[in-house]
Amino acid sequence: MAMMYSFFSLMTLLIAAFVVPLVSLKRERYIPQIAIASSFIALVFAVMTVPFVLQDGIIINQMEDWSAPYGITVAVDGLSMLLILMITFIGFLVTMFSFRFVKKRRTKYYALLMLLQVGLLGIAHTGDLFNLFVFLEIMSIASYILASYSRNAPAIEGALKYLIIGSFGTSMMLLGVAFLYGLTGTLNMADLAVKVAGISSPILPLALGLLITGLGVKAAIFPFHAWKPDVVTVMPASAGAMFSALSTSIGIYAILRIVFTVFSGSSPVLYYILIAIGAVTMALGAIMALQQRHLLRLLAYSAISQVGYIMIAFGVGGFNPLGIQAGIFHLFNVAMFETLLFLCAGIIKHKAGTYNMEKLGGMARFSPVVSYAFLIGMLANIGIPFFSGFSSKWMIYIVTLEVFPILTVLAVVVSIMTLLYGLRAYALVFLGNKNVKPGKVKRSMIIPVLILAAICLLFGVFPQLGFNMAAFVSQSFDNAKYINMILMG
Amino acid sequence: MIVRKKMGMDMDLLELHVIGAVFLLFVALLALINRWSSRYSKGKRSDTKKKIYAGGEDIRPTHMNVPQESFYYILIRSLKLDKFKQWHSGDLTRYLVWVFTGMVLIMIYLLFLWGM
Amino acid sequence: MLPYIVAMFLVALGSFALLFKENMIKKIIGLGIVSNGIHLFVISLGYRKGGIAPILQDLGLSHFVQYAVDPLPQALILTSIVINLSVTAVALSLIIHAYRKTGSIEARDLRRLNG
Repeated sequence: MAMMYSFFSLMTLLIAAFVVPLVSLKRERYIPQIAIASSFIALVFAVMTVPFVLQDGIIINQMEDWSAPYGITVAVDGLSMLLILMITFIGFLVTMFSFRFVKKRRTKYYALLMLLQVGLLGIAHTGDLFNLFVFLEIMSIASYILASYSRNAPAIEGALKYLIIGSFGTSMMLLGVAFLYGLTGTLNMADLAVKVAGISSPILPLALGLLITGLGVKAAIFPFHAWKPDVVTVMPASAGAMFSALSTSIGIYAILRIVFTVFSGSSPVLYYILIAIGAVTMALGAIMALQQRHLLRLLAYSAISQVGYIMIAFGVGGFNPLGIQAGIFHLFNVAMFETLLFLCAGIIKHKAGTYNMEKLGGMARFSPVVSYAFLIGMLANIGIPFFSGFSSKWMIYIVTLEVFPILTVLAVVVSIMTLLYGLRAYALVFLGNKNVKPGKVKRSMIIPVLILAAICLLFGVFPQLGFNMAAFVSQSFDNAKYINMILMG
Repeated sequence: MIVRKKMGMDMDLLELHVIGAVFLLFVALLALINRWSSRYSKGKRSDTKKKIYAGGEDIRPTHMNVPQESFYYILIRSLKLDKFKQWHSGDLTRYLVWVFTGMVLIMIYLLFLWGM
Repeated sequence: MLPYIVAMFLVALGSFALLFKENMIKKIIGLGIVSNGIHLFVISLGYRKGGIAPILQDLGLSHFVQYAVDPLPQALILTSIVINLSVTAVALSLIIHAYRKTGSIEARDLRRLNG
């Protein structure tokens, strides 16, 4: 009997998020240890689910045994499994990193970090549109408060802007869910897929537009991206690492579920929207990143640009199934190297106290290991051979060449711009003449960095691993199996 | 469809191996040339060679007219790319107008090309 | 038909307040009006003429099925009301902090982070 152990990881983190403030009343010294232990247990539970998903293809749990269209469905298939692994893994690494990085108001920080993970895991598990909305709001509220963590004027301003834009987005998404409910009478995604295929009504494209807006605000794609650089600049770098990499991944996952599962096979018009948004996002992110002085803001725009690549890959994937695999592999790679870059930036801030690239310099003398790790992350971002970014970007180039060659030209030009700002960031921060004394980086801060750098190298030197993973995950887009197993099983 | 997917993946892998091999060869060639040429003439280290746009050469200050840190900004302003940075002015109302306009445009596009 | 029109009008009014007013508190009120409009829309989806509240009483299951209004949108809206309550609370406390730090709550003055 296939057990959904990964649901226990969600429950562990939820219980820990409530236990941490209670424990802090008596013994505040042990809170980081509790947080690290619970995120490790969550990672173990997630890894334990992998054999079951590999064997069955999809694991389904109907809550309280109410059968499918009437009850709440929790379904873990290939794509959800990949995201659950990414969330628990990056969550564990970031919690380990924050042990030394975050000193003040630790209770609030760890509780919010765990609530953020709970929200992300909930979205990855759900098979139901309303569950998606609730967990999206949990994740959003945790990140609104985390954004204002340092309590200085820019932090409050960034959090306020994010709050208003984010709430507007999720309200629009709720309106889209309401339209879909009014048309079909159900909120279960598998049931919606069956019913939407049979209805043709002018309200469906309105509902889809509202849903793409709501989830696009979270994923930070073109017209909805304005909050992301402000928030990432003011969040503490470790929380910013997890939030930036994973909230975009979850936003794209939710858009994928809706476009490819609920509205699948409707019309090619949907794919053109994804391609158009992706192309503009890609170019805009690179153009803005060339002009930044603040290291975290540059990394945020770089993340926005990479999300553009992923949207193009999925848009083209509607015409050629290989594009979906390219998009999934690039999603995984982007999360890994984005987290790596943010954590390295956190180490630099810990030592030098500033993020302004024009004031920094010579950090390679401080810690050569961190400079190599940052270089590995940047080279993966640009797409140099033997780093993970190259394997997935090459797949995207090939897929777009078959369908729309002009997208390949745009992608290569944006890669050149990525090279410009990436190497500029590396040179300004790490190279140069400044006299910086060599020092040691604490172990709990360097180990996550080393693990992520090893992963970037691993998927670059052995790209076959990534291709196999993407091929397995893309089987979850076989809608007939998903719908059958949820509605009949 | 599965056969086509498999064929596509194998083709990708061959090109990746070829590119990786060419890249490695190029890097090895560069390393060899560096090792061989430094046996004949070792360059002296100096501070001027380490400046950003000096490219490892000893440049007299009169020859270097490129301002170090702000070269990128001059390039960007001449390509008019700084307009984008000015548009992101930090004004919350303007960001909300983008979100709303984007939503309305997406809805109109989907409505007219799919719904009717 | 009327509740749907009123709900859409509320959403439009709230979006107007969000987009065109500069004061932060007016934007938060606009968000509240948008969410009120959406809640009204969703609850009216489940309405049935001459319906009773969806509480199972002793009159029997068939009577319940014939006359009760749809309880699913009501559950949705209860959750959404609570979520909006907490978001409004966080927003108002952030506005108080912003006022203390910068002395102004107009959107055009909160422009330290730009570019």
